[in-house]
Amino acid sequence: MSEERRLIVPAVLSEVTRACSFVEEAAQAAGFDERGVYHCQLAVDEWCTNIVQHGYEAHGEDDGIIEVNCQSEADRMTITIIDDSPPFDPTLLADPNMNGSIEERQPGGLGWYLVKKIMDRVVYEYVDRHNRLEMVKMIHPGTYSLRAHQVTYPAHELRGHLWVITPNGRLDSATGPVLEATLNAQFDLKHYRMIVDFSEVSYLSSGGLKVLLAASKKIRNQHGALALAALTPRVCEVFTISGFDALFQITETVQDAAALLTRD
Amino acid sequence: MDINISGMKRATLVEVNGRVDSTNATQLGDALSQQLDAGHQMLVVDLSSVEYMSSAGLRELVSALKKARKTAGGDVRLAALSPRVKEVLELAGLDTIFHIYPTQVEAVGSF
Repeated sequence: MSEERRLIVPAVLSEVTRACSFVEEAAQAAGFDERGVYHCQLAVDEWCTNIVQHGYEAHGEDDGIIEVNCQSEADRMTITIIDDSPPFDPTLLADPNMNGSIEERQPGGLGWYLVKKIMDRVVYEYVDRHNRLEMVKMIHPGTYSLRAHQVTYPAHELRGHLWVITPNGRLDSATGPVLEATLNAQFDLKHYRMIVDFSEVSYLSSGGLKVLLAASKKIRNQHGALALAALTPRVCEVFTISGFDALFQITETVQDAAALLTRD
Repeated sequence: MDINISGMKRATLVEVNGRVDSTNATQLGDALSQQLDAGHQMLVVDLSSVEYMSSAGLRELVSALKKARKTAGGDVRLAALSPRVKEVLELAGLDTIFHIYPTQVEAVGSF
């Protein structure tokens, strides 16, 4: 049971109010109480205001658009906001001083701080020349826990002491922890010879890459071996553009990877 | 949003009505600084009819507060916050900075 709503508005303040009403309605329909509805609305308000004032206006752009997606499921609503103003990663912002005297309080950063406080999960990415902020709000407060949702990807032993991990979908900062958990489960069992089968991975961001780099280091320290197999052209490009292809053994198929690691 | 201002013996009462967000927060800020500039340093902002406020509204309240407290005895005191607006104020850590009163009468009487 999942419902999706989408709104595209010009990036001007008067339209931010429209985005607020849109999210308010979606949150009500999703079953949030009055407080949850307020939180969803406030988060969208704060972030869209940020986009208009600091993303577009500050760069002299007045023809931008903002896309707001609300996807509601039984226990949560995921709000995704996409804009094409210059890249702006809010997770790099320092928290405002919350304890100082009035003179020490600076006006900036408060909106983003509120977003972090009222949403259960917030993930920022710059993808395909768009800022993309994904916010998750659980319908019943306190039911969200990353661990509870932290599944692992499939893993199987291809042949003696050689394991294949098969992640799927997007590998980004949201799903990076899942890959990390999958790899750590293998490390706990002292499996250090591994192939990551990328055939079902549609997208890789720095959030996913980071996990692979950490794993590769750990495997090297344990004198194990790691190969990445069956990358789609787009995922492969992430490696070549970033130069990280030099750090990994990349093969066309899982069989090639197996042959390579067996020869080692 | 609309704003009603009435001068009282002890303080100036600013009653705000409606939604305060980035589209109109500067109106609130302007109304408050007008009073402060006119020498009315003791302000009570009644928020009982504000069901929604974003950080844009908070910023205006904070800058008015800073300005008011520059004068001895000057202050911006808040009255009759709805639970949601109160929560936003708390989340922003501003509940410890403002004097907040349950009712307009108590806020005015506090001066």
